[in-house]
Order: sequence, then C-alpha cells, then structure tokens
Amino acid sequence: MEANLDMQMNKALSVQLNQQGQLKHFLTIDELPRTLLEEILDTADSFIEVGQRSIKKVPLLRGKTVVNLFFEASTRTRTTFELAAKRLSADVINLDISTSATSKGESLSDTLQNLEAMASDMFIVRHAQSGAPHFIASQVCPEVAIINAGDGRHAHPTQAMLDMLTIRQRKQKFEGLVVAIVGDILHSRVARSQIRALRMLGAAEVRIIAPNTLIPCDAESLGVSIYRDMRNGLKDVDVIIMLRLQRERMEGALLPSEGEFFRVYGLDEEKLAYAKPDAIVMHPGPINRGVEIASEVADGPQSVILNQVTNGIAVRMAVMSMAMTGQIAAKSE
Amino acid sequence: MASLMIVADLLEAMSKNLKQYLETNNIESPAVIGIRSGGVWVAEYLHKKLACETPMGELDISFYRDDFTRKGLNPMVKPSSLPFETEGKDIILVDDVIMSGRTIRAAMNEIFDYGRPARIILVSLVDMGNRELPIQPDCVGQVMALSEHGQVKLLKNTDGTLELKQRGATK
Amino acid sequence: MNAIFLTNGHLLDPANHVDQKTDLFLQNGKIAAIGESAKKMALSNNAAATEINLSGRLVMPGIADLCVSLREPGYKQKGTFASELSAAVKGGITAICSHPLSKPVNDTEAITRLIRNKCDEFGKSRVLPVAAATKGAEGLQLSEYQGLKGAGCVAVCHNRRTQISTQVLRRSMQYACTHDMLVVIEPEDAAFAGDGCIADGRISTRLGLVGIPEVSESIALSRALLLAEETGVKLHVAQISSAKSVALIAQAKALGVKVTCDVAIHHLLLTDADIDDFDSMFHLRPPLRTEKDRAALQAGIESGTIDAIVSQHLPHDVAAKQAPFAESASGSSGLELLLPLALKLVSEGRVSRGAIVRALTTSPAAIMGRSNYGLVEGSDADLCIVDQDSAFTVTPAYFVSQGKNTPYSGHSFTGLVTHTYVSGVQVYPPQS
Repeated sequence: MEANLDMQMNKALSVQLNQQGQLKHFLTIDELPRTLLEEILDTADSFIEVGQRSIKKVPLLRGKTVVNLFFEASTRTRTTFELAAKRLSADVINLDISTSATSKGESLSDTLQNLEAMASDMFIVRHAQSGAPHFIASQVCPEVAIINAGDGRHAHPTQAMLDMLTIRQRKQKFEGLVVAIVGDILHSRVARSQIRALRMLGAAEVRIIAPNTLIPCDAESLGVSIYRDMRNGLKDVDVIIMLRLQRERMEGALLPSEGEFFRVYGLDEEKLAYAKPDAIVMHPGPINRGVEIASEVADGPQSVILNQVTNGIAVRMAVMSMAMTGQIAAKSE
Repeated sequence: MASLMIVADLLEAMSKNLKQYLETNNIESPAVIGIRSGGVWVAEYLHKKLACETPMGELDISFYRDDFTRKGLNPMVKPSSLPFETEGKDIILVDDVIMSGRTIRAAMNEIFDYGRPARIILVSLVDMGNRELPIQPDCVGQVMALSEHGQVKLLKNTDGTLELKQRGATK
Repeated sequence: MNAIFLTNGHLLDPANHVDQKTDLFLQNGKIAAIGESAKKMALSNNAAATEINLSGRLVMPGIADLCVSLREPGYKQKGTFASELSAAVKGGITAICSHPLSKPVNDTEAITRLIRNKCDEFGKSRVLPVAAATKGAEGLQLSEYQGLKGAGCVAVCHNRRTQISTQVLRRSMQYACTHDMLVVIEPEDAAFAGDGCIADGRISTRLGLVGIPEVSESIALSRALLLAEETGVKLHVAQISSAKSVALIAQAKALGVKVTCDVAIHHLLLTDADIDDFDSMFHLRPPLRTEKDRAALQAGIESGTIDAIVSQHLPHDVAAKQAPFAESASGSSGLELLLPLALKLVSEGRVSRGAIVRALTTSPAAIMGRSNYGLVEGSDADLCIVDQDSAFTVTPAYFVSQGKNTPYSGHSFTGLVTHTYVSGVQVYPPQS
C-alpha cells in the first residue's frame, strides 16, 4: 500500500484546497504550503487596520450566513469568531449543539445537512473528536466552507495562526527563532498546530518542555526537541508559549497536583530569566494564574497575551474571507 | 501594449487644474488619498505639488469590492492607511484611471468607515468613459475613448517615472 | 447427489504435500479419488458425473475463517445469514467460526442452535459457532461450556472489549479444560486501551487521535499465555497485531504451551501510515501498527508461528462509518477480499504460497477441530477453485456482503474464486 501514500497525501490536501491551491476549508496547518500561511498572515495584517477604524466593519461577506457550530462549549473562541464574522458583515447564527439536536439522537450528518439546507455558507466547527471537521468537509458538506475552531487533540489552526501573527509582529521573521512550548503537549491541539506552523514558517528550533506523562508518543516525529527540565529548555529562547493545564489531568494520574506542576513547569520570573532578555511570553488563554504561569509574568512587560486576543479577530477574518474566496472559485471549477 | 502620452505632461496640467479648482471652491487644507496602486503614485505627485501638510493616505479597496461573490478576495491585499482624522476633512480622492466608477464607490464607502468627511473631490489621471455608476471626476488629466474591452494601466518604471500602457483599440 | 469430475486443476494443499496438475472426483460429499483413479472412477460412473474442465485453475481446500461476524441475530441492518453466507462462498470460504457478539450475545445453547439451524438451511458454508466465555460477554460469570459444546460450539471467546479479572480468566480456562473446550482470547487490556482508536505512535500523535499502546496487547497476551501454561488449556489467540506478540507466541510454543493464533489479513497488508485524512474505513481493531509489526506478522505466517489468517469480517451499514474517526464503528467487510489480499502477499513476495494456503485452509480447519481436512482421498469435499489471473476493482458493487465497508476502495486485485464446494455440492456460483 506504500505506493498509495502519495495519493492519500494529495487527497488530504485537496480537502482543504481548491484546484487553484486556494483555501476552501481551513482544517489544519498540516500540508499547507508556506506561501499560503504567509498569505493568511498578510491578509490578517490588513484586517488589523480595519479593527482600528471608527467603524470596524467591511462589507466582504455581506449576505453570507456563518453558523457557529460548537459541539464543545467555548465562550471565548466562539465570541471571537462571531465578532470576526460580524466585522465581515456576515449574518451569524450561534448553535450550541451540545444541548441541541444531537442529544435527541439525531446524527451529526443529519444535523449538518439540515443546516446546509438553510443556505449556510460557512460552518465554524468546534468538536471534541479529532477529525470531526475533516469528516464534515469531506463527507457531509463539501460546499460549505468549514473552519476548524478546535477538534479534539488534533488541531486549532486559527489559534496557531494568530500566535504566528503575534510572533511576526514582535520578531519580524521566523528564521533563527527558538520557540519553547511548555506544558500539556499530549492533549493540546494548539501545540500541534503551532509546531506545524512554526516548522513551516522557518523557525530554527521548536522545543517542547513537559513531564513524560504529558508528551505524546513519538513526539520527535513532529519535528521538535524534547526537554523535561524547564531551565535547560528555556535557555536562550526567543518565544515562550505556555499551554493551559486542564484540572482533570490530576484525576487521570498524569500529574500529582497543580502545586507540583507549577513548581517544576510554571513560568515565573526566575525561570523566565533563562530565556533571551527580549523573549516574549504567550498563552492561548484562558490563563490559570499560579498553575502554569505566575501573575507577574502574565501581566509583565514580556507578555503579549492581550495582543494575541486582538490578533485573533484579524486572523479569523482573514481565514474566513479566504475560505469563502476558495469556495467561490471551487464552484466555478 | 502601446505606450501612450507622456504622463509627466498630464500630471503637470492636472495639478494646475486642481489648484484652480481648490481656489475656486475655497478649499484650504485638503487631505490627499490615493487608491492603490496607480492612484497612490498620482497622489504622491499631487501631494507634493500642493504642498499639503496633512500626511497622504492610501486606500486598498479590496475589502469593499462589489464583486467578492464572483471573484473572491484579492490575495495581495495590504492594509489601508489614513494617518489623519477624516471627520470633517476636505478630501482629494485620487485614482489613475476611472471607468465603471465601481472602484470609486468602494473607496468612498471605505472612507466613510473612518469618519464623515466634509467633502470628497475626485481626481483621475485618465477618464475612460464607460461609466456604470453616476460618479464623475472633478478634475481629469485626459479623457480617452476605448473599445469596451480596452484597458489602460499606469505603470511605474524602475527609474520612478510613470507610464500609461494600453491594451485594446481606440474607438 | 451427483458426482463431480474436476479435470485439469492445479491441486494445492501444502499441508498434505499436494502440488500437482491432476483430476479430482467428488462423490457422496467426499473427495472420492485423485489423479488416475479419479479418471477411472469417472469412466465407470459414465453419464452420472458432472465434468468440469478447470483449465489449470488452482484447486485448494476450502478456506476456513476463524473470525466472522454474521451479524444475525440482532444486526440485520449490517448483515444477515443469507447475505453474509453468500459472501463467504463467493470468497471461497467453506467453514466459518461465527463471532459471539451478536445481539443477544451468543452465550447459550439456544442461541448456538438457532445460529446453526438457520445457517444450515442456506446450505452454504459450514458455520461453527463460538460462544462468549462469560455470560453476556460481561467478564463476570461463566457461560455453560458443557452445554454449549453439546450444541455445537467449537470454542468460547474472551472479547477484547470486555474487562476481565485474572481470577475469572483463570477459572474460565480451568473450567474449559474440564470440558476439553477451546478458549479463544482477543488480547487487549480493555481498561488500558480505554478510548483509544488507533495505534499509539507517530500517526496518532500527528492526528491527535487517542492511541492504544502496543503494550496493552502484550500484557493481555502474556497473562493469557501464563494462565494457559498453568491450567493446560487449549488456547487460541485471535488477531495478534504486533511484532512483540509474534515473539511471545513463539516463546510460548517453544515452552510447550498448547497455543495457536491468527492474524487478520489487513494487519499483513496495512500499517497505521495508511490511515490518512481520518478515513474511518481504516478504523480497525486491533489497530493497524507499524512497518516493523507488519513485517514480523508476515514472517510469523511464513514460519508457522502464526497458524491462521482470518478475514475478521465485520460488515457495517453506511451510517456506522459516517462519523468522526473515533466515533465510527471499527472493522471491515472481509469475506470477499480475504483470498485476493492473501494472494497479493504471495505475488509481492512477502509470504510463500505454501504458507499462505496452509494458513487459510488446513491450519484453521484443524483449530476448528477438523483434522482429516484437505485434498486427500476420503476427506470432506470442501473446495475452492481460483482463477489467479482474473482481476477486479473494489467498489461497493463488488460486495455480495451487506457491508461495503473496506479500506481498499478503488484498489485492484487479482484472484477470483470461480467455484466453491461444500460437502461435494457446488455452493458458488449459486445453482438455480
């Protein structure tokens, strides 16, 4: 079956891209060419400017219907997507599916096909199962632009791209950068997408720093170097990305306690001093102060956490208008 | 593509007309905004010639185009930059070529999202006719008639000089 | 019953040292004669025998498949006795062990008899039920092994999704020993495997799917082998998937443990690297593993450490696979692809033809308790005849099975069964 591997890679790519190589769904950073990632960042730059006007709205998606399909609750991400869609002048519907149709036994396919029949143009999908947005884009609604807003442990590509935008704003380019990602890599869709984007955009080294219980199997294959010690791992890095630690990790016996985790892997000023003096500190939020990051660091001069939030809206506007463009072109193919 | 008339002469004549227009209408400190990309080059010339104190603005109208549902987003979009308060301002909006009028409509929509200007004066280096919207320039360098599919484009040479190039036949 | 005279076939039965072009005479459900004596018998029998010229096609003992879910009773939307037995004979499969996880679970004499009676009506493949080793396959109380045996069960099975204590497993083996019942175990530590749906490794890490560590199979297998050694039970290990398991089995066999094992055909052909794009057709259990594992499994067939190859036939309705990978049902529809896929291993030079044929026919038949099996005079006339050169492409229309779920959609293979005989009766192609 080896000979079919190439074919399948192309198949994976063709789910996300139209024949001209434009984005038509945004499911994962994997397999996207560097030029396309840069186009997302450049387009987002233009949308940042829109956010600074007195009327922060452009008419691009006027008359389009965007449905926020959150099968897993997330107020923050949903809100930024909603705001991004509204700033593009789209009509936005928020559906909290976790409490709606599927709990009445309706299958995922049926729910989605009903929504598609309501002339939806774009689904923003958050789902607890890895691959759910792929499934929707390839099997259920290929003609609706699907934007992955986080699926299981797999990918959170808009979060990764807003992080890339933040890094580019501060460091101008990715070449030569050493980036450390700290914490629960095993369960983190954000980390997977960030690693892929950093590798693709040319970062010199991506390090992951975590205890063995929070490092996925064969993590080296992601193209990262692995550190168990925070101080060694942070030595001379340009960017530190702290991940959120979920409380249920204690129940699964992955960690003994939040206290011990903070002592070893929490970012405080003492550990931060091992990084380069101009290193920036990032966090996808929401922050657990005193669990993965100390307040003085989160609110300190090296923190760019609030820039990330602003950039989140611009990146989502960029991705949404690009995916809509790709869908329009795909329909005339 | 055939080279057209000397752009420098057109600009010279146009800036004279524009100065006249501003005097006649008592406009004292206007702001200049160029539409990317040709309009910006023309605007740079006018901005200098008029010795404007307000920094020049640049518009990228990609987000305001009315043909998104047919063509999608321009992948080369760059941020617009209006480094001054548009509210209550007299604005000189500059483009290289006016034809259907749709670009100007998009540009005016965009300007209004920054604030409500006192007035907008429209300047275009070339007027090709074939209007699809009721929009007319206040000041023009040259009026030309082209066949329906003809196109004229302003290009910037490596030495910085501007040149008008034409594709399609004159009527 | 008409006698059948099969001429010019290439008889292949490595276990009985048969590999020659010759004739075959079937009478009264048995292979009555082979070679010259077959010709003589045909002449003396004159008009009564149906003569079929096989023009050099391969004649093998009928395939014996140790792991097939017929889906009835309970899951008619996925498959019926009629549809799946038709698929079996099309695939050259003459004997089937039916998997106990129907609805209700086959854990009683009554259900065993129901399956046998219903299947006998169709007169296609022989169906030898395997029952759940514990009531309701819950891992708590023993099923009635003595009664099940009387009803025709050939084995009792510990399912991979059932959590079972070492205590209960040991008692199950002790009790099975008492009644000379074969115990089948599908080795997986159910609690440890948890929500896993793919092998733990590079691919699970990239796709963010929850991985099942290889050691989950090694632990369950080691425990079963230690208990088999201690209790002296006859143990059959179903669908091993790792190089480690091959080594553990080899070690146990060397120690004299009465153990046999099988591998699903897809583990001999695919690896987890073939899972791309979250294609739920590759959702299989045990999960597809690495190249190293695949190579060790192929070597295990060649050496005989692995006794049998099974289809692990699990037909599904379309909706069952229409879901995100982890939520989709696992398994593939395998009866009609078992032989072509096995022949692909031969044509690619991965496993010898002799080892493949043995692992498809005589070895699994022996595990089912049929010792005088194969292309020898006097044994049951269960045969499958193959045109090795005929090619086909896998499409939904290819399947007679109700389950069209396969990871091989769009792939082309060679080797189609032209005739299947059970007890000397042609069951495929169906006779009107």
